[in-house]
Amino acid sequence: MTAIASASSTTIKDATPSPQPTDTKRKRWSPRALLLAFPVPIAVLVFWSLGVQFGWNLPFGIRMAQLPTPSQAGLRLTDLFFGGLVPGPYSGDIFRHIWASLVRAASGFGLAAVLAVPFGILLGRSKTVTQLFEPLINVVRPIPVTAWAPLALIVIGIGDRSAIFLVFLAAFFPMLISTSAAAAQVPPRLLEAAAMLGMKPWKRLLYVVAPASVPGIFSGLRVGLGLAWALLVVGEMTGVNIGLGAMIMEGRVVSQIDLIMSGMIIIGVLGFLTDRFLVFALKVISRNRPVLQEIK
Amino acid sequence: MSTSTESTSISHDTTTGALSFSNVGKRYGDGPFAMRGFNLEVSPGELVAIVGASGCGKSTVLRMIAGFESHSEGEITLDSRPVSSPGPDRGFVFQDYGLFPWLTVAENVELGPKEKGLPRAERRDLVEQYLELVGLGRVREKYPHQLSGGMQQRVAIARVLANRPTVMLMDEPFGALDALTREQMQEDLSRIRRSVGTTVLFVTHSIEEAVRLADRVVIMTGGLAHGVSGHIRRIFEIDLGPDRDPTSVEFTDLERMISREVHAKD
Repeated sequence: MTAIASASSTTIKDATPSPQPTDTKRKRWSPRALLLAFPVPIAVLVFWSLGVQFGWNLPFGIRMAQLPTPSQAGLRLTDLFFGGLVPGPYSGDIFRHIWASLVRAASGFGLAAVLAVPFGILLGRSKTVTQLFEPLINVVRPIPVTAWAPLALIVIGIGDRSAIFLVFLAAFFPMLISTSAAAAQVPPRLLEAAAMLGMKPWKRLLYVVAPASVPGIFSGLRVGLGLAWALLVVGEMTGVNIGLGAMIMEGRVVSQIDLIMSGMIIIGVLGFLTDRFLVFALKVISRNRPVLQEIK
Repeated sequence: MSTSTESTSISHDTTTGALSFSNVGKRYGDGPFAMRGFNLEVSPGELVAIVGASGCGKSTVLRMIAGFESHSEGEITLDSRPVSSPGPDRGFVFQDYGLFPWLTVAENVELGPKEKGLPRAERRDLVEQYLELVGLGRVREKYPHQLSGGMQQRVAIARVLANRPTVMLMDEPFGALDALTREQMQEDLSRIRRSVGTTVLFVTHSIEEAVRLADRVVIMTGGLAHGVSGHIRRIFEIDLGPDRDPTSVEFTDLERMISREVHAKD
């Protein structure tokens, strides 16, 4: 959580060539910052292992005796990648689960982005499009995507396509809403400037509205990506055999809590890495232009 | 840069750029007229400044020529053709520059010629030429936010001129700049305008600026806040020649006369 929060604030600085970019980078990696990064995670690990050892009971009825120790979880995690430590079906076999989950998340997320961004721009700029679609969006959007899961399983059937559909649905609305809000707030000045320079209205959508909306589009993509992972796990928990969600579910069925926790950690790391990838992709696509700068 | 290249290659067509307003009025919806009975003829190559208190409709006049706003009655023509939607023949310089933050200085200037479909080589020449004209040859690859306000406004002027507009509309273009930059920009505008020869309509709050730059100063007054529609009160000819000294008696006399007209009650 903290990693994601700090990542978002620093990347926005990175993408904007500020007057002293070296200054902010130095602050980020100062010895003090590095030193302060360790105590809290270490304390959590110590608390975790003591809690398991002495069987502490926490609020919410959390019985720590049920948990593996940090070293047991670490051992299982290592075995998933390299094998030979914990015999069983998952030993050294994590990569095809990661791959299956990544492909599902990327398909659903990618499809949602490809549809939501152009649609969001139209929605933000055209009164007619808004009047046509807003009532429907307002009715459908508040339905939690998790509530779609049982329906999807029956109508689409158990398997890949259900999971991808749920990921798509989860990622679509935040991207749509965020993009259309950004498109609606493009400074009129920029559109006037484009008009007086001779740019035709439809071209203004592509060359003025879209770039001016990048901050909103991008934050929509990030929120959408987070929700994509959340719904991927839900989608994978029923019926599919391969994937991190399926692995976690299997861990619950056979009561291997270290397997569950390993799955959780891997998904967390993947969520973080894919978010970083999004930041990187934006830099490549925008060719390092100052698109995240606040537009007045 | 040499003055000879300026006057030969940069000079625009000086027979076009005749603006005409006849009985132009503007109202919002069914409300009262914000401005009405606006009559003005601007000849090709002329620089006309419009001054007046806030709300008299002077910016609206510019925005109606540009096509950003429609007029409710009367007729506005540019070289005998009625103006309608915005187009590259009517360049606009905004007080807040209106540059595209994600485009470099050169790309901002190139945008108009690109929309016209000019070939790359020709576009590059235009960018070069007009950035040189406004004295910004060296910041071509920078982004607007890396420039000072004065430099951004120079880019905005170059961007408009690269389109070779028949008329350049400037809405308080130097209003956001500090006094020193402002004075420098005024000098440069005089120079640029002499070498380019395009018609300029210039809205400003500053009477001194108007007297310094304009061939004629139009004084507008009224406005919804005053209970009368905005209208022209008086038009002054400024016959002070090309090099004007703001401390000279003629200059300050004109300034005082105009100021009196601006502030007089109806």
